Amino acid sequence: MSASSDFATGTAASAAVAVADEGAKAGGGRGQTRPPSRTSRSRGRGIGWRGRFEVALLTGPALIIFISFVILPVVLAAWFGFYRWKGYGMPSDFIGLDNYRWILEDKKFLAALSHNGFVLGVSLATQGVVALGMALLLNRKIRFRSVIRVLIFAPYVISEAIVGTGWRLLMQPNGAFSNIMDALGLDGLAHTWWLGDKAIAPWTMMMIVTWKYVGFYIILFLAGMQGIPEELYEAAAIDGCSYWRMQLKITLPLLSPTIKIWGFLTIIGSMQFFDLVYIMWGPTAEHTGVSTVATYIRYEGSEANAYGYGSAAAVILFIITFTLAILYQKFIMNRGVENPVAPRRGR
Amino acid sequence: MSIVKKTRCLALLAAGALAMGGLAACGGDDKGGGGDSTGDAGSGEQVEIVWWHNVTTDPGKSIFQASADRFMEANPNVKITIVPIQNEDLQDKLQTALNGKDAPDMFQQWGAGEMQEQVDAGYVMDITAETTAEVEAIGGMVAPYIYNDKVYGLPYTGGAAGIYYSQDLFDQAGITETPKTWAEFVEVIEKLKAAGIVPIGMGGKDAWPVGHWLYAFIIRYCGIDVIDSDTANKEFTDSCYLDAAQAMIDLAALEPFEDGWLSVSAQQGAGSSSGLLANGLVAMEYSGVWETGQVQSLTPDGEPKADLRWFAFPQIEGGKGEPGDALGGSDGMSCHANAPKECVEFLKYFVGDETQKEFAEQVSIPSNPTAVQYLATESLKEAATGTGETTYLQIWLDKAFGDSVGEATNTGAVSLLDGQMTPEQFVESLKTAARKG
Repeated sequence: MSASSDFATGTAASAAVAVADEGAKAGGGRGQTRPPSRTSRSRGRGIGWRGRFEVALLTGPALIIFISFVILPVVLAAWFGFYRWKGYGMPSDFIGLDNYRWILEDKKFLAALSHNGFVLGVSLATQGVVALGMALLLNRKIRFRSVIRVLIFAPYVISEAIVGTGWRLLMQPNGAFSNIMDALGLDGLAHTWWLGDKAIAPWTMMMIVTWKYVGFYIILFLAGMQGIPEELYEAAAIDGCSYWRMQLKITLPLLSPTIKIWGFLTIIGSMQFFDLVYIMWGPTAEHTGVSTVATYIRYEGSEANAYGYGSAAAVILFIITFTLAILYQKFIMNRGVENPVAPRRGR
Repeated sequence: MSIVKKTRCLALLAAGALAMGGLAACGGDDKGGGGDSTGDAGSGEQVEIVWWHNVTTDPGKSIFQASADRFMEANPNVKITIVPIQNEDLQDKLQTALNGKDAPDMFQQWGAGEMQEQVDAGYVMDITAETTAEVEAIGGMVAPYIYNDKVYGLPYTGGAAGIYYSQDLFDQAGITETPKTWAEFVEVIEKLKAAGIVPIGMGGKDAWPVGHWLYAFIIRYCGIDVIDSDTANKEFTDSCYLDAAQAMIDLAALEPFEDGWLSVSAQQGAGSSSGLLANGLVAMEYSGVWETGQVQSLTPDGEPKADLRWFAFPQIEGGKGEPGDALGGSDGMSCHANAPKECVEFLKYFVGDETQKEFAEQVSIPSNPTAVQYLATESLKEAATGTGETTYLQIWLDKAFGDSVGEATNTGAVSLLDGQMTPEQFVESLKTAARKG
């Protein structure tokens, strides 16, 4: 999004807010019943020893768990990455940066990384649009709305292992899907190798991923839409605004924090993508164009008993994901339209 | 006291309780280590043997349980806790457990390279002195469990891999004799195709079934000496590897596999390659001694497949291998270095006559030749005979070469068969894999 369009939507939104304020006043000053923003029971001033003790006690357990199960493994992986190590005993064969060099020279790794890029690109390009459209639809008062919501959310609730096994059985050669297509006389579809053909398998994967995750994003967007004050739409309607114009000028701008979160989740999810590929393709992921860095780590690292090598690959994945996350935080999450309706905290 | 303060105190209490609970749990862990030194137990002392194995389905699972039950009855001071773990999971968990404090006392063992790594790390008990009689009785199959002239485990089942086939489909295609040479084998493939039968089932998705074909070609082209030297040095300079890789490409050119073999799994469900064989949709599958039981579990009625037969992997002209060389493997058990002595006693009982007879009757080829007579199905009897004629049983090459090269061999085999790799690239990938592990 360019700066100018940013500005444009920003002004549009604040115009809408101005309209909304007018409406609120006309409607009997609902805003006045709101409690004052500063509470009188604020503790203020620095915390005493009791406070400190309390903080330590309450954050302690979480901190210990976080350090021992998140920070420590990351540090250990970085350390293992410098060794040739089969996983028995303590690593002792120090080989410097060799593991990293070998990984970055490995075509399989680069292919896996590019597949992550593919997942990310296709997810960003399709899932947001689909989810947004469905959310808009489900945000209206239509028949069977709650049933449809449940159905759409269901795939997200099912464990990825079960989803993978199920789709595998459906899509495998001579599986249910082939048989149905055969029965319908669609020979071409019946004899397509949905999982085994290098040109098709990545799209099969994206279809399943979208099916599985789009429900979650729809709920996410729906929740975001619920947070947009009804008054804005009423005011816009009074001004003779069309439905689509309202979505464009009110919903989209005010949904931008949610959309940014969606983007963030998609990036992280795509980079760490593993379960579905592992279950559906196993070791042949690399032959069918669906391997990811995580499956690479699994097969070239732990399955090959090359734990030093695998750790080094994990460190590379960590660095890539971490960098993407930081960049996203810095350039996308923290800038753009500020929600104009959010109550402004005292400055 | 205000409500706010009251809840804060409760929260403090709760947090404290949680923290202490956590500490207590941590404390408990130190004592619970399975592999710890309950050793040199006097006869009366209570000992527990935690046993991890990969037999998660019946009848094998019940036979193992019954064997343990009988041993516990005879030795009231021993408690055997059995933990059957699915095969692929077991390999991961075992590695982690051996490194940590929760190691099992007795565990699944396949011998060779992987076992040697475990021995070098000091995890496996030397049972040479206690098991001379058993080693004698089992014979050649115990070889992979011997390292530096010491015995570190005993196999309970094993044998040569071979081609399992459906006699009915062979009859249908007018094939009267099983092929002895590669040329005859190619003829069989062509006859089957002419009769509209898919010749070979291939579980490409799991990679190792494809790997098995490549191992067989390597055994035929390279011979045991080259394999032995590369097992030790991981150099892969002999040109026979190129021949073996080329053989994979030539095999694929015959198009003998089921449609979409790359996404067919080996053993899961009726659509797997074993399932296809069980249901008469493919004529042959190259597999190990578990195949008979596997096929049985996938027939519509769960009964043994009546027309299942076995023949040895065909001879290849111009290869350096001896006719008696065969690919195969065994399943065995080891005791952890810190396990109680009773573990060895139980291991000896487990590979003894009683359990071996039950195993032969209901599951597969026993490691002890005296129990072979109890085998129930035609294909197993033929496989046992074939195993008997084997002069050298080469353990699965992914195990022999070690996991790192083994992994490259398996995925390389798939690439070769799918036309994504040249023989030169394949050999290069073995060398690349060798340096990282």
